[in-house]
Amino acid sequence: MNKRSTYLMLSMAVLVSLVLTACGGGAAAPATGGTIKVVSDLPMTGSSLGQTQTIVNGITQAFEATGNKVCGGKWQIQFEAHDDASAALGKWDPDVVTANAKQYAADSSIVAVIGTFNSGAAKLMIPILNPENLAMISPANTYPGLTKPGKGEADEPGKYFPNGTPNYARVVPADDLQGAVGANWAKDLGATSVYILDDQELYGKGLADVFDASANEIGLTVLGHEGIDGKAADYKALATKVNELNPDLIYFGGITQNNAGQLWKDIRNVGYAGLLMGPDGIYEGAFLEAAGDAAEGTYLTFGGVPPSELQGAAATWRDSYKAKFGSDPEVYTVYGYVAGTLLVDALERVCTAGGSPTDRKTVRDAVFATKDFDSVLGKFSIDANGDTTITTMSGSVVENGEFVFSSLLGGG
Amino acid sequence: MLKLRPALTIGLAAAFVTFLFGGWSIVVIGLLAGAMTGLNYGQRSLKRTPREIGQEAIVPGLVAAGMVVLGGVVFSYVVTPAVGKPLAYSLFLKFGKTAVRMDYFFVLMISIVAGVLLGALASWYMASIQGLPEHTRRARLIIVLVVFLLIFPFFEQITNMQWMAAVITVQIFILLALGLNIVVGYAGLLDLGYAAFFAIGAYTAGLLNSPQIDISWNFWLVIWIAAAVGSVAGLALGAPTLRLRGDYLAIVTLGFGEIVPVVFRNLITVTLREPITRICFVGCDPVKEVRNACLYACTGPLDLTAGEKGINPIGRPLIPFTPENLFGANYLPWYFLILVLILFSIFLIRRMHQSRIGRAWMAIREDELAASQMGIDPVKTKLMAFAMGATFSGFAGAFYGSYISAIFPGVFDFSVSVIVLCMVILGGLGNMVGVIIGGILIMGTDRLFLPQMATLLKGFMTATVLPNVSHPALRDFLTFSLDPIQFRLMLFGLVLVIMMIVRPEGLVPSAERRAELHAGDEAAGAPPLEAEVAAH
Amino acid sequence: MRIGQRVLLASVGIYLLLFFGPLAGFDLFRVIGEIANKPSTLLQQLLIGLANGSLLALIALGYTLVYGIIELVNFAHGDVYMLGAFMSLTVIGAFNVDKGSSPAIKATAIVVAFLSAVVFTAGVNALIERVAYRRLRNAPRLAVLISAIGMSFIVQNVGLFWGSLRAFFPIMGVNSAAPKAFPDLIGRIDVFKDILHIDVPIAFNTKDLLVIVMASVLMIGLRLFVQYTKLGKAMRATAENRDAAKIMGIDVDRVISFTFLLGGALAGAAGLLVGLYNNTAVFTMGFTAGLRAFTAAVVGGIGNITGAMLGGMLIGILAAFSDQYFSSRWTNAWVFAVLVMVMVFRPTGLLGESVGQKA
Repeated sequence: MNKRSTYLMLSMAVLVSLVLTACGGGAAAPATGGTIKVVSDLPMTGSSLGQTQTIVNGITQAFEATGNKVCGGKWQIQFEAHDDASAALGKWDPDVVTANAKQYAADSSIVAVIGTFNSGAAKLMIPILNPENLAMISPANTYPGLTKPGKGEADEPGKYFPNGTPNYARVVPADDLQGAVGANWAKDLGATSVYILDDQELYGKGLADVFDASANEIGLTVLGHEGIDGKAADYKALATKVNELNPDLIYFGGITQNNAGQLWKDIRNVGYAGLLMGPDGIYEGAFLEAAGDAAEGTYLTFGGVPPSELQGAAATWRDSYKAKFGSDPEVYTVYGYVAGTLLVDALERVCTAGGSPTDRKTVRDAVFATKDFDSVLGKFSIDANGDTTITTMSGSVVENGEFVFSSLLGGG
Repeated sequence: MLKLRPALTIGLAAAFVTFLFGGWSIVVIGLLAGAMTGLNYGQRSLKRTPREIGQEAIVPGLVAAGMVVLGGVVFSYVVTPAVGKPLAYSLFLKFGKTAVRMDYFFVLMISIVAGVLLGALASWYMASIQGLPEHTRRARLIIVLVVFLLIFPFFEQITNMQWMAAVITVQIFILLALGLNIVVGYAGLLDLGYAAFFAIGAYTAGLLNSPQIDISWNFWLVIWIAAAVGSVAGLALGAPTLRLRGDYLAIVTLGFGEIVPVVFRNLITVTLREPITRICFVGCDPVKEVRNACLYACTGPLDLTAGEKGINPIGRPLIPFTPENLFGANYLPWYFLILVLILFSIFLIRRMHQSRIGRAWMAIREDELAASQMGIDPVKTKLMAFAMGATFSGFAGAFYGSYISAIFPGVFDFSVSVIVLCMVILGGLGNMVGVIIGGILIMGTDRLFLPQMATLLKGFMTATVLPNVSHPALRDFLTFSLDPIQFRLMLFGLVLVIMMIVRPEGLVPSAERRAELHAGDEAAGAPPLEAEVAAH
Repeated sequence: MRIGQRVLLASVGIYLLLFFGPLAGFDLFRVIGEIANKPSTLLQQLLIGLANGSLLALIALGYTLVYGIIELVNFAHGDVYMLGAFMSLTVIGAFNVDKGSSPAIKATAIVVAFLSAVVFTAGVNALIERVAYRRLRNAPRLAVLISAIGMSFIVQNVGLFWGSLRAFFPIMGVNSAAPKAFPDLIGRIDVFKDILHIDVPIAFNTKDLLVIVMASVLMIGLRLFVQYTKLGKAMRATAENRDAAKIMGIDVDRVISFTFLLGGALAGAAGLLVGLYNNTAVFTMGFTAGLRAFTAAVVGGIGNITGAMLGGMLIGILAAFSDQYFSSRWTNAWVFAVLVMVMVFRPTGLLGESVGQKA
């Protein structure tokens, strides 16, 4: 009796799984058409949502422009926006990034990932997607080491590509440009001495290091370079220390989510009257809100042109975005749109060449083969490293609680 | 006369899951609910033979499974339309790389049939083995459990339920909770900085198996080193703090738990110099000149932990004769690896608990003075508890680092310590079954239910509620403020407070605790798994 | 022999500090050099430490009062202080004042915010005691402690939820978890240069002054209250021996409730002051500040009111010095290292009598 029941149980389990197997008699996806899936991987919990939601909007807009179809309507694009942040951390969470990456790798209907937003997250995701030849197009990562040999650590970016072929491209210029441009701008603004702070993260510290090196190169005096604790309640003591050295300009490499607002307030609170400069990580509405009056007069560098200054095709895009979503795009929104259109273009080329857009390898190669792609930002190509050939940089300044475009910087 | 209340309670709790997930979850949850019900009825049955007990439990099993199915049906026909999803979307079955599409209705039918059948079967079986002698019963229980744990991941992969990431996280936390249970549950020392040992394990494993300082030892070696370093750290923390009792100890461990992540975050420019040699008396200025003997990293400061950037990438485990990418994007090897680690830990902890040291822990917990009078060395015993607790978090840390393939100091904060503490307290201090159940409940809620609830609620708001609400402030409140994920801290807090007030011994208390707290109202030594499981 | 051992232990400790200290920014020789170079910086940081420290002391008083009377580390206290900041932010938001408003409106807003924050946090704190601690009065101490940790998480979550109510309180901003901008109502006028017209290289402005004065007034008031009023005496009696106090006709439950009210009120005042001082309120501020304040209470001698004030100042100054001379990244580690050291080597703190360690 007892033995029998064990067998019964086991055989029942086997039976059920057999039934399940046998029932899956549906037709396999036909090779000439069907649905392909594209996902975005951005932090959609916490205060970056203000920025990332508009990127998702931009991507949606790019796909909807073709009716969510490619290859003459044969393939339907199904777009899903995934969140790589967690409530626990309030920003991107390595746990979630890894889980997401594994999910994308395993879901063979996904042909490309648009993401990530944070360079640290990209470092985790690329090595998981690389062996699957799954293409990644980032609308926002700017850490140089992700693509450029020699610009990051010694073994970068090779260590992210276990199978030897890069699968990661980005449509924003990297920080080796932004940091240097920032230092040059600081000099142009008349600063002779700078103090550098960073939030110790991959993005912020990387940027601050480049700024530091460039500043030394062009003859600015670097009075100090210090990492801040992004969770501290206040920075009065630190700000006093910096203020005592009386730098012409204080540069902060970091993101809003690491307490940039409080830092700004306390720097102004201790009576510092000099210049303040930050990167695109604080070029967002959330920063203005957090820093309040203290943000006034802050100089910001940004890889690209801010939405208000877009010309020609890009301006048309901006207006259509505003009409569609009822709000102004944030600075990275246009890159979401460009990433989307670039992917559509690559998929079209795959079809034209007779390939299947469900084949990840082909799609990846098509993304990397992008040449003189006519985007709303102008023509650009993806080079062998996966970088965009656009290197426009712009500087903005905060006036009356708004970002105001100031000038185009370096690059070109 | 059959009493169906326990079956209804279990069914209701389980139906809540299928109400949120629907689809294939009906099968898994139906099976589990049936098994729970069977266990419950079998234990309180007055019948003697396994056959009679089993037959008696079939109806309750059917009831519980039926409620689970009902939850699933409600999900399909009420929840899905209410959140604005089309009912007819198709599902996939995945066999390796090939995906097979299935009709939604078809999936629902199969799940319902399989859920009810498996539920009744599980109930019958779990009840009937209660009539067997103690050791056979235990063996059967273990076999069934092992079979379930073996089949589940494959079923999950084939049906594409996407629970695996959450399940592995739950497992990691269970391993942590088992370790903390030694310190808090067995030895009665409140440790509020347990995440520190987790971090120490993870960083040890990360440093020894990554390009960070150019050491890449094999994972199978590193995991032992991580455990050993963890236990040494436990000793190091334990030694000076043993004089302290109760809340003072809790505070010191809390301080330690806050310091450790700061240390890992900031060890990015390491150089060691001997300080005495810097003092000089003639012809030099110790303040201005750095001229003391350098001992370590003299050519330039060493970046030991990579700070906030984290150690990345950390090597994966390699098994000879298997593909190098076995532990890659695939979840299954990770699932089984952590499962083996947990089973191994349970085995070790069990042995310890039943040995001399285990009894010493309990004696210390109950009355330190009396225990030391009886010849137990309190210092040694407490140190041992700290060291052993830290060992298992060392395992968990090494696994975690390799699984995520990177580690960052920000993940080891105070809330991790409290979540693990929550699990131990909810399940039942000092009882491993309880701790595991507590772990599944807390982390399952955190990683599976809350996100799913958030998604559904968001859909429900946009699809059903918002079209009928015109007041802008109310609209904003409904969409923005009512986010279940934002209430996760509240959940942990409520668990702690309510458990302390209502049921300080936990859901599944250890036999000793129960005997203490309910001395007199029933004979001690009742089997640990009982109606309590059902009640929640 | 004992003394010899102690000297040996101390010298080994100092050597280790000198050896490993530089890793955490503590390079004694460099620090001495910097201080000698510019002593005014030392004074400046001392002032900053004093201002931050007096705020910490206000919070620390809540820990110490409660610990003194029922020997519980009230973990939720820091989060109650956070609620105080949120309450005053909400009230100030309702007044719709900002930097440019007239001084009369500003002053009214601040006074109303102060009163409502104080009343609210006092009530919340007493409620917490009623709900989560009173039933556990005779339970093992660890049970109450765990309940307190749970309460802390609950209150923190209330803050998060409150911060998401932008629909009703526009001042909360668009993000629920992000730091909220607290309007700058005090303004920054340098006390030495612009008011007293003394030329010193030290910045000390009206905000610092307000914080230090307010905190001192509250603390001295509390000290007098506990020393001389009937209720204060009842509190001390209950702290000394609860059973004896009961026999003497003191309603112990009421005294305990009152203690929580008092601690909560101080936390609410601290919440408003911090909001005005740092111009930020965020739902995690209670946890960070709470841990530091608790450290302050322990350093001063937990249960001792003067000790809490002293401890608050010391921790504030330590943090400021660490930011200036060591490295701001390591400040938290230094603060908690002090906590651990005090706990291990002198659990009674600087001024604490031996309250014993009844487990």
